[in-house]
Amino acid sequence: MENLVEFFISLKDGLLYFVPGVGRPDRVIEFLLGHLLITFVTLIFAVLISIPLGILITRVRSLYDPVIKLAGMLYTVPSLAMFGVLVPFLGIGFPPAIVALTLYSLLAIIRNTAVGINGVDQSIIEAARGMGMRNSSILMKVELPLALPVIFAGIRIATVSTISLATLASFFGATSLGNLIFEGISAGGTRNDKVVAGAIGAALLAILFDLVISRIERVLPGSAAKAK
Amino acid sequence: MWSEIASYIITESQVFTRALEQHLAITFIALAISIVLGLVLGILGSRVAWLRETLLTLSKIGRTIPSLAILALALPLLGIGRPPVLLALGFIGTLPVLINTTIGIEQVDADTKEAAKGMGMRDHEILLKLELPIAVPIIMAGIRTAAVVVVASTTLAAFIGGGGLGDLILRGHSLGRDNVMLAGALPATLLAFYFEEAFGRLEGWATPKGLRDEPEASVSILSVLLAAAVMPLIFGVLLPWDITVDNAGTPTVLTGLHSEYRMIGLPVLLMSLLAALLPRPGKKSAFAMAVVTGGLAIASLIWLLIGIATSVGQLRTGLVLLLFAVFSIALIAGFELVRAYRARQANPARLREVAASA
Repeated sequence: MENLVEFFISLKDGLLYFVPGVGRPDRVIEFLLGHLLITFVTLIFAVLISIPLGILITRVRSLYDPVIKLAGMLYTVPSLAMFGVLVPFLGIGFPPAIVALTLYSLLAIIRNTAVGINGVDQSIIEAARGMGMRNSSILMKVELPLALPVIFAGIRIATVSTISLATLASFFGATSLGNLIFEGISAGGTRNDKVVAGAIGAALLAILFDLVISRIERVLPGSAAKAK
Repeated sequence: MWSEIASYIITESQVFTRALEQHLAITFIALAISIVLGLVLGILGSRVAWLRETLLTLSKIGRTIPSLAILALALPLLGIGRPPVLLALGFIGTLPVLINTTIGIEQVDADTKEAAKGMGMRDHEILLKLELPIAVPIIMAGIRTAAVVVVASTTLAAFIGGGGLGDLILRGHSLGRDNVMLAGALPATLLAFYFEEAFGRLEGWATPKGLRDEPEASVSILSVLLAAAVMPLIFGVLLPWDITVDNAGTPTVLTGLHSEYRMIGLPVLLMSLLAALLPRPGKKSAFAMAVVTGGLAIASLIWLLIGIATSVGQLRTGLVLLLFAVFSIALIAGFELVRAYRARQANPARLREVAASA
């Protein structure tokens, strides 16, 4: 019972941490910007690597299984273990965070790109070919636009997982909302408000991005939700 | 690098085995909590309309919340140590099981349910004899997701004082010793692969042949045995056996890794991991796989017997581990029975027989 009361008190204190004057919203904003920076840089790398790879494996069938399996294995690695392996080689700070988070994002985007392109109706491609389109323009003008909702769903999954893993990156020297969590934990129970503020901030950020991107997904041409 | 990691694991075997033991204990307890809670809530969700929406929405939101944030939120509630870790990981693991149970039960054909009702089956009979058996593959997929998420998130338990292999990573990081870090990170990774593979096999094996994606990839019972029963055996023999205090009052930790067994134990562990990571057996390689897995099982049993025979203190732990293995086998046998029963029910010859008798 006492625990519960204390929990609600730290919950309240945690929420007050966001309020100007009482808490330190300036620090929250600083960490939030760091979090967003990590997320966006990671996503840019992930998209640049994954979408071409996803297209490649629909063209070269023999690569499909190995690439998906490898990405799947990378996705299975526990996040702390991933940092534990990368930090000895890359040091601490921004670079290992970007590498680790990009590796985690690969699976969702590669798989969804491949599934989206494979899901395009074969007769539509036939029609495009009959109209005299070349392979490259079939890809750019037919397959990719039709696969866009599925690819976007992959990007959404990757974004959410990147946001949640970015909290961990701050233990290894990057800046994110995780800084608040770790500062709170290392204070040994005296600053639970920081723990709560960081956790709630990161959770809200993940939920917010999930909602916003799924909204965008729904208005994309050819999305399943719109077809209803 | 590799020799440094291996030498750390061997010289600091007590630290390593304790971390491994904590890791496995947390994972299994949290997973048990998740499966029970997930099944109960999932069944409730499929029965009570207003609960369904709430539970599914909450689960979907819950799945987007970072696991570190969930662990961090458990800290002010229960302090540090194992209880907050189990609470947080139990919560994390419950969500996929819950979602899949509800969805699995709902996708059962409405006509089939209608027919069952027409035959006079009551609600709980429909649930136990019709809906749950048909939903087993989907529920197993949820349990697999939960297992992988939980075993991976267990590394994070070290942040709130729960121990586990994550502890080694954190310790290595703060000491600046890369080999300690890797001694935690690599086994944690292997363990996650192992869980993915083991539960993937259980899932494939619980799925009726007609519903499988790749009908040619048969899943042999031996590989399932390897995944579910030999796993605790092999990991079990690595755990610390017992702590005894002699007459002078100095405590001694008896580990499964007596110096003369260490050299056998680590290769057995690694080989079993490799065997589990090999591609799932098709018909061609089934025999070779059976030999490998059977050999591993026998080797680890012999090793366990050696461990049991050496001291009384080890006897108790050995028995516990054997019970664990027997329990796993019983679990598998239970699944096998359910599957055989279902296969018999769906057998065309039998259906014709029933039709003829009616």
